[in-house]
Amino acid sequence: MADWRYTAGSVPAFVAERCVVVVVGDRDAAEAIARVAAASAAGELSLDRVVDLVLNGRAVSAAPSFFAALRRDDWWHVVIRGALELRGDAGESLSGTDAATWREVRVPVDAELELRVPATAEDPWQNRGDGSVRVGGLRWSGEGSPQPRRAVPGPDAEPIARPGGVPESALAAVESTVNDEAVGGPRRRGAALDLPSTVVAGSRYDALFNEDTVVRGVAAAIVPDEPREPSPGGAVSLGDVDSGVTVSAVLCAQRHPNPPERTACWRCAARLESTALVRVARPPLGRILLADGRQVSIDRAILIGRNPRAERAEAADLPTLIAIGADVAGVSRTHLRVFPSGWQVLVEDLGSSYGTSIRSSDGSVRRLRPAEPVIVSGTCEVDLGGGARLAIVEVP
Amino acid sequence: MSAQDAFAQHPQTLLLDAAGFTDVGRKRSINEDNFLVEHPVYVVADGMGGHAAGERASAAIVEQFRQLCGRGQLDPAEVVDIVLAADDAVRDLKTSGERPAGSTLTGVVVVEQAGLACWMIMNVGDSRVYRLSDGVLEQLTVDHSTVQEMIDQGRLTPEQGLAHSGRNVITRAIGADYSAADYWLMPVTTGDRMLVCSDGLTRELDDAALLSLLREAPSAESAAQTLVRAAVQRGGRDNVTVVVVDALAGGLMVELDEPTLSPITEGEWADTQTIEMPERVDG
Repeated sequence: MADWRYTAGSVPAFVAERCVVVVVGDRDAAEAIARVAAASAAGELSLDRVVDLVLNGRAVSAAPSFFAALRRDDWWHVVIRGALELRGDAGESLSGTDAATWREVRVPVDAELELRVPATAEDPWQNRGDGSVRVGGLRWSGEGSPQPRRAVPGPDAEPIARPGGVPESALAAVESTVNDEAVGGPRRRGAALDLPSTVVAGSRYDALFNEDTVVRGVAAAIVPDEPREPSPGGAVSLGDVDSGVTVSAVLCAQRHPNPPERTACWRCAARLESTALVRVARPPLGRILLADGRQVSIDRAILIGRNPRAERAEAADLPTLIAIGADVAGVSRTHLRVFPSGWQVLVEDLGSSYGTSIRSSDGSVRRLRPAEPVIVSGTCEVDLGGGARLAIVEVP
Repeated sequence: MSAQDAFAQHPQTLLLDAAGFTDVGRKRSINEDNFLVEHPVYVVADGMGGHAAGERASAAIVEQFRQLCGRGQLDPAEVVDIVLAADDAVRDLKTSGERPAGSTLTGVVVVEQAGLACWMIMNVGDSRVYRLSDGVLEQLTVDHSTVQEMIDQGRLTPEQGLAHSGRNVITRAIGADYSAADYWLMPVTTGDRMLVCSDGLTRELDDAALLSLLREAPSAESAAQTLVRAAVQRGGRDNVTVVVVDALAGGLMVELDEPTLSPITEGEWADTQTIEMPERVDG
C-alpha cells in the first residue's frame, strides 16, 4: 500500500486512503475541502466529482490551485493545477502553472513523490471532519519502501494540525530529514510526519515530468457520440498532423492513442487493456464543423471571427484562422479561440461584442465569460453573437 | 483564359496586383537589397556585411523563396521551412570563406487555411510590412532593433525612437546568432494594399507620407515606384526597396465602406495575377 504523509501547515487538505485533495486558499479552500470530505463520507469519489466539488460552479480559469490524487487499480490518478509543485526525489518537477486547466499524471503506486505547497496566510483552522487537515507539504512513498507505520489519519486518528501552521519550516523539516537519513527508518521531527527512508534513485519518473498534461475534461461524462472507424492504412494512427506537441497516452489494440484515464478507446471504442503509458505526438482532438460544410481539425489553436487575425507569433504558435459570419451581425473580428491543451479542448471568448454561448450534447447551455476558457468534450454547438454557429465534434 | 474570364467564371478567384522597385540611393555604391514579386511570394531582404557579402546574403534568401513561386494552397508550415532554409543558406555563405553576412527578411506570402486565403506576414530585422485597409495605414511588423526594444521597455517614446542614433542596430537577422522570425496571419481582404519595404524607405518617409502616397497611387506599380522615388529624393541615404501588393478581388468582403483603390481600368487587367482558390476544402 502506498503511504501518504503530510507536514502540518496552513493549507486545507483532505487525506484518506484512496483520495487526497489539497486546495490552496483560505475560506473558499476550506469549504471546498469540507465538500470533498462530506462527499467522501457518502462513497468513493471519482476525479470528475472531486473537480466539480473544488470548482463549485466556477470557470476553470477562476479556480484555485489544487491537487487531487485518486487511487485506481494499481496507480494513482493525479491532477495538479496552479502554483503547487510535485517533485520526485531525483529533482523532477511538475507544476500546474503553465497549464490553462491543470496537468494530469498517472503515478505508479511505488513512486516516491513530494507535493510542495506555497506558503499561505495564517488562518485559524477548524477540523471539518474525518481526514480534513491543514498541510504544509505532502509526501508519498511507494509500496516497495519499508514503511513501518501509516501516517494517514483513519477515522480514529487524530488529525494533525497546528493552528497558524508554519508551512515553510515544516517543509524545511522534510528536506533536512531526507538529507539526514542515508539509511534507516523514518523518524519524527517536530510536527513533521514520518518520512520515507528510500530515496528514489535516478529519474524513473521522468516520463511524468515532461510536457505532460495528460488529461480529460470536467465534463468527461459526455462521451463521444459515435465511435469512429479506425483510419485505414497505418498500424498506428496518431492523427494526420504532427502538431509538434506530445502527450502521454495509452494505446488500444489498434494503437489509437487515448487519454490515460479512459477505459474504452476514443476512436474505436475497444476496451483499453493496456495501462502502459507511451509518449505520442498529440493527435487532432476533434474537428470544427462550419455551416457551409468546411471542417477544421483541432490540431492547434484556432481563431474564429468575421476577420480574425493572429498577432506576432513564433512559428510553433501559429494558429489556424477561420472566417465566418461576414453576412450576419454579431460576430466580432476575432471572436473566439478554440485550442488544445494536453488532451483537452478549450473554448475562449476573446472579448467579443455580442458574446458566445455553448450548448452541450445534454442540452445545457452556458454563456462564456470573456477571456475565461472552458473545457468542452464530446460534441457541442457554439453560437457566436447570436448569428453564426459552428459545431465542435469528436473531442476526447 | 484571360484574367477577366477566369474571374467571371470563378467569383472566388483571388486577384492580386503586385510590383516591386529598388534603388541604390544617393550615398551607397552597392545595392544590398533584394526582393521577389512572384505569386504567392512578396518579400524584401536587406543584406548587410559590407563589400558584396550583404548582397549575396539577401540574394541567397530570395533564391530560397523562389521554391514557393507558382504554388497555390500553401501551408504556413511550408513558409516556415523556407525561412529556416534561407537562414541555413546565409550561414553557408560564411563557412565558404565569405565575410560575415546577414540580411533582414520581411514580406508577405499568400497561404491557405481551410479554404481561406491569408496573408502570412513574416519578419526578421527592421524591414517592414504595412497594410493599408479601409483608408487606414497600419504597420504590421515589429522591428527587431535596439530602439524598438527600448520603446517596448518604455525607455523611449516612439517619437524619441525616430531620432535615436541606434536606430539601425538590429537585434535579429537571417544568418545571425538570433534569427527567429515573427509571424502574423490575417485573411486577405479585398481592398487591402500591402507594403513591404527596406528601412531605406522608412528612414526617409514618415507614416503620414507613406499613407498619402499609398492612397493616391492608382496601381501597385505606381505606388511602389512613387515611394522609391520619393525616398531617394528626400535623401536616399540607404538602398530603397518597395514591394506593393493589392488585393483586387476574391478576398474577404468585410467592412468595405470606402474602396481604398481606384476603379480598375481595362488595360490594367492583363498584368493582374490570377490564382484560383477552391471554394471549399474538406479537412
